[in-house]
Amino acid sequence: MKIRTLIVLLASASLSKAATIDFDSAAYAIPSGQLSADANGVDGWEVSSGGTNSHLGFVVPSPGIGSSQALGFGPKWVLPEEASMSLKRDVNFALTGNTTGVASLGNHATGTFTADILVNQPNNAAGNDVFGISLYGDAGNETISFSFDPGNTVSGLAGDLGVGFFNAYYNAQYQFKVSFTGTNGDFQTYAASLIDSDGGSYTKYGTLTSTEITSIGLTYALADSSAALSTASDGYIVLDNVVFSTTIPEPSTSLLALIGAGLLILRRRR
Amino acid sequence: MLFFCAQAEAQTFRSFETTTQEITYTNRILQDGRTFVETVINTVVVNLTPNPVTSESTTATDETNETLFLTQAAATALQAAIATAEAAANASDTVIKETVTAEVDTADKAQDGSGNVLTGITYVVIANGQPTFPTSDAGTVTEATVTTTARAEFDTIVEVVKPIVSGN
Repeated sequence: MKIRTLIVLLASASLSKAATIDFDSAAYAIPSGQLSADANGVDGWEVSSGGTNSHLGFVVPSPGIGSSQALGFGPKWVLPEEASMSLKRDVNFALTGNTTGVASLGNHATGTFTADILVNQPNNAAGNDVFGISLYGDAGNETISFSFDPGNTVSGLAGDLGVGFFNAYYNAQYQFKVSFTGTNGDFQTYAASLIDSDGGSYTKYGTLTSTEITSIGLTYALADSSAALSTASDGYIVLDNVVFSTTIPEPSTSLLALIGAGLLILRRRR
Repeated sequence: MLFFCAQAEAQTFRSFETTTQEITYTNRILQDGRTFVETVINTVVVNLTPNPVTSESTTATDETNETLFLTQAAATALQAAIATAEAAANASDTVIKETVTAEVDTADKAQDGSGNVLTGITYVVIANGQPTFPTSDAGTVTEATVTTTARAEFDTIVEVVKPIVSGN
């Protein structure tokens, strides 16, 4: 193997770590005889009302939005207690200080978050409510989020749900993907995408001041925040296949890359 | 020894109410030869409460029949008004009752010779050449609530494949 090839391979080698939320694990087991299970208090998930709104978050039984259980959030079984609510879980995903060596040749630490989502609403009717998915930072009120609002679709475009500058559909599965990049072990710059099953996507960009993604959350809001809570529609947002991953240059890798670079310089001098 | 008693509060699951209304018109010939229209508004209210814990759906059904005796002209006008109201895009589930309340007043109802609204009538039915004289009363009759339970299933999520739609 030529020295130059070896150097490139060494420089590109990194340590990858991933964490998932497994909705098929024992923590999410649906008790025998029940249709679904209350998700509040399960595996760290908390409803914003402080846990009194049982079954607003719930475990969706298999086949979920694929072939296994998933997480649902919305007023399917119970009315909301407030016009705007969330179901959150701590993830403590560090965005800084991820270097364990000297990143070299553009091989910097990166982070990625992915999840599959779907807004389930059998009846596409006026007054349907607003759902969303968010990553919450530890600085101020920083979030990376997409909100699905049937009352705010982009005019002139097809679709059921307005998502900022584009539209999406009820009961269509999308992937929420956030790629974090940066330098020197920090990756606070993000590209947040919503990707459809055909690979089409919409991406928005930004840089956080947060040093950590503290939690992930699903959100719900009444279509008319001043309306009675009894007007809540019975739709819900479904979440599955949640994966957080980081790719961090290993110190040995970086060191070897530097050695390799030295060898290459020596070779050229000869 | 101290005993602590805790009473678990049952979770209240949401109910989904649906209301259906129908109206019928039947001509009634009174013994004095006048004809009125027996108008019956039938309202059925169904409350469905799915319970994810017991895996049962409870259905409570209330049925109400409201009977009015209208003049023929009033009945014709009422039918037209209801047709117009039902055609509206924002028609509610109770549009029939709402229209009756808005359209029908005392002058539209069957009255006796003294101008009193009739609370009941005796009408003529001729069957096999023989007249009979049944009676009918005005007013509202509510059937007792009927409650049933049935095994419930989680509604499988029906996925569709649709792209995001962007103007870019």
